[in-house]
Amino acid sequence: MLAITLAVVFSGTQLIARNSLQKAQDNALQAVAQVIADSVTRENGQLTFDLPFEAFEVLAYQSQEALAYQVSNTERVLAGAEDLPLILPRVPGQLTHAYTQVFNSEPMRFFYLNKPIRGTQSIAIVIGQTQTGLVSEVNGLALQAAAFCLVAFLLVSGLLYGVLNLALQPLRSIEKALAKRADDDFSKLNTQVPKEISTLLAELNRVMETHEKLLEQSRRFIAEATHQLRTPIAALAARADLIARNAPPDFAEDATELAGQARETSRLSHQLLTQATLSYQTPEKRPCDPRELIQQTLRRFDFIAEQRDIEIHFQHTGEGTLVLDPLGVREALACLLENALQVTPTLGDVWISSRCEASCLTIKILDEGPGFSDMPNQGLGLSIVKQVADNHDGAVTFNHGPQGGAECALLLRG
Amino acid sequence: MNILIVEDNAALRDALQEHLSQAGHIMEAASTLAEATSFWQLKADDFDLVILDLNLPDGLGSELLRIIDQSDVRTGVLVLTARADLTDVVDLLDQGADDYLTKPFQFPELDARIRAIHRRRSQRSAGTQYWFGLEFDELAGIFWHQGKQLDLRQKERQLLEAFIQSPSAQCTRESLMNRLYRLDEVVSENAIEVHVGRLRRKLSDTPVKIQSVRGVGYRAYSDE
Repeated sequence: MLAITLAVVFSGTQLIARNSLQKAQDNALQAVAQVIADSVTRENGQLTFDLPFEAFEVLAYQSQEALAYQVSNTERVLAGAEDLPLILPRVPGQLTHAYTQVFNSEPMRFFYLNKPIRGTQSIAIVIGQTQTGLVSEVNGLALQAAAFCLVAFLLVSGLLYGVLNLALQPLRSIEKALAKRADDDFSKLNTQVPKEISTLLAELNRVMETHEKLLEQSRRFIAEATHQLRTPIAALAARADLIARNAPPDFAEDATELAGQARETSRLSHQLLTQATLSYQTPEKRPCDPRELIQQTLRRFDFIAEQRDIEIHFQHTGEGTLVLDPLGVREALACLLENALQVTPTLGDVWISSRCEASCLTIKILDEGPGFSDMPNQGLGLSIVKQVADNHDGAVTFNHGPQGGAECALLLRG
Repeated sequence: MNILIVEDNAALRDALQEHLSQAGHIMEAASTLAEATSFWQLKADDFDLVILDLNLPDGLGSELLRIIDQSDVRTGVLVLTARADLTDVVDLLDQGADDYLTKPFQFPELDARIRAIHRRRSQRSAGTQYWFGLEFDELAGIFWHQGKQLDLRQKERQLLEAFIQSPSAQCTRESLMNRLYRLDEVVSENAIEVHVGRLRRKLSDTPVKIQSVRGVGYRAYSDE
């Protein structure tokens, strides 16, 4: 933008300066030509005139330019350079005009004046002068204008920057105050601001208060739903299992199907409520022993593993505690384990390794299933795992196992 | 086992009673904290296990947990919770609960937790046998080595019991298969090899070794 502005200023100044200086040069040349024209007389039928060498000297004195002239009648050149470029006026009857032509390999400005003489003769006077000085003068003026423009631009920009900075200071204070807060801190901002943006601050506080109430409502709803739903669903699943177990042969298949659907409802509702809890509640992180945390979760799956004759191998390296969200970590690990046990065939193995190093916990789960592209239950379960990874500035990745199966790696930063 | 069930939801409480009855346990059931506390105070010595819901209509189940923990009676406590926040539950484990289950749960999981609590709390009975450096309580189905209970799965325990009961501590592959699986169960050809392999790993720190005997099956022996 600045470059375009400077280019426009430079070019404009060049044009104006050239026109102005050009006009002055034309006037000077015209004056000399007029002096010559005024000195023309007829003596004995011959035209005579005086060449104003003083005027030529004045022109030469004004700038170091080369001069050229020609005085001619309709028949021949009477004085001056015979090969001077001559361009007659386009408009018939026009007696004077100025033009620029190259003469002796450099551009020259010429002034043509035609003086009619009584009778049929006329005398043409052409005075020419190079424009080296003029061009230099024009460029000098244009540069000065552009420089002035640049300085003015910088001054104005600096002033504007200072003013804007001052004006934005209250907004920056608000930004800093917000950046220092915890994610679930919606208390009012008490930053001192000018009255011009006090309404903005008031509105911001109002929005935060509304948001806090909505969030609190969501949390209460989730807590209530969690409590209210889990017990009836547990009762439903338990009763369905008993019906399936004790059903007469005619109804055994239907009862088993009912029990299966009840278990699936139970599993999905648990995941849904877990996902909602993780999404709407700020993780409560605290120092945890990663080995103990993982072992607690593994104990939950002992019975499934035993049912399917699957051996779970667990190895942990690294000592110390990490600040983690134990609920989230257990649920994420549970989702991954549930999946691994589901895809691993009977009599197979699931390998879990964990490593605690440099405030990071990496948990790897290797199964003997068909590979991650065929993993079931990727919906809510994977969503929970990703949520927990995000809450710990971590990541979850899936790869093919070194000898088949799928390996999932969950990285958590404490 | 004698079990006290403390659960305010009638449907769940009835289902628990029915299932545990079918498993051969003897039960009392309470639907409020007051009722459960009353049961406990009357028959504390009788109960092997309390299955305790945390959210009761007249108070928190943790109150009963505190009473049990402060008593001299060795009773296992399995907490049932519907709470989303399991940090409270972990605190309960510190307060004396043996284990917890989150609702909803499956009966096999409940059974497994009950067995695990029972094994952890079991004292050696008078009928404990000694075999190749191991102590074996046949009634409880628990094995110890140097005072530490071996963490064995049911099929692994069944394998060891088969070797104990065999005069020469030698069993054929077929006899082990019949011991571990019903006739109508579809089983992989290498199931016994897998279970024996797992048992060998778990016995690696004990004197008991299991050797493959070509054409016969397996033989257990002590390397001491």
